[in-house]
Amino acid sequence: MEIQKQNFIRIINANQGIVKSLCKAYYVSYEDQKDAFQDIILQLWKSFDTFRGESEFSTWIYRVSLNTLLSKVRKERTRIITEPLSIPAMTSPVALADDDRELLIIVIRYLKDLDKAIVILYLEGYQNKEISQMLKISPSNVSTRLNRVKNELRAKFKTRINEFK
Amino acid sequence: MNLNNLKPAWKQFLLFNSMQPLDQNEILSIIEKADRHTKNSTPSLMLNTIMLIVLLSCFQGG
Repeated sequence: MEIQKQNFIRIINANQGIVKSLCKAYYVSYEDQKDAFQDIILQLWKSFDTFRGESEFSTWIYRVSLNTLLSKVRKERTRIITEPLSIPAMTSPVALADDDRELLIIVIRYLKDLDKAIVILYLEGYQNKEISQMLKISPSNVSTRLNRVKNELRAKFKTRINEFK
Repeated sequence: MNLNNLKPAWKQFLLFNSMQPLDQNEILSIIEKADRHTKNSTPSLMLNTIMLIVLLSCFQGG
């Protein structure tokens, strides 16, 4: 096997948790997650040549993966726009969440696509400026969206927050 | 909601998803398919470019 391919597989292997977690955050069914995983691997491989090592591998993987997912979700939404939207019931998320990980999944699934990407990068510890560069939006847009998300979630998950405090 | 409270849960989620073994053959097949596609599309791209140049020069000359 070529050295470049070996290196690529080694990097993906070390960071597979990121790619799989992002696929699970955007897609519910296993088949869709697998499809998204393949698309991300393809995009990562295409941009592997141009990766200059100016950032961490994880940062590069987050940037490429999230942009691939956002573009994929946008395309699919345009394609199925005529079909009725099925919005999952979110009336009693508290009752569904047995632990913090479950609550995290519910919170993530509740968010809109771009907000979801911003929140994930925030949870990963990136600053607003870094998030804006990775998602190609302005820093003020990041901060506005984050504040809006926090307010929305505060209202939606009021009961659970009291348990957090 | 204090999003910071979800940071440990996100770390846990990442860790959980990194534990399953990765199918290296699957990764290889994806990237090799991409390589094959690039190789196959290069000659047709060149042919199209040459045809465009010929057509442009014909129309400019006429």
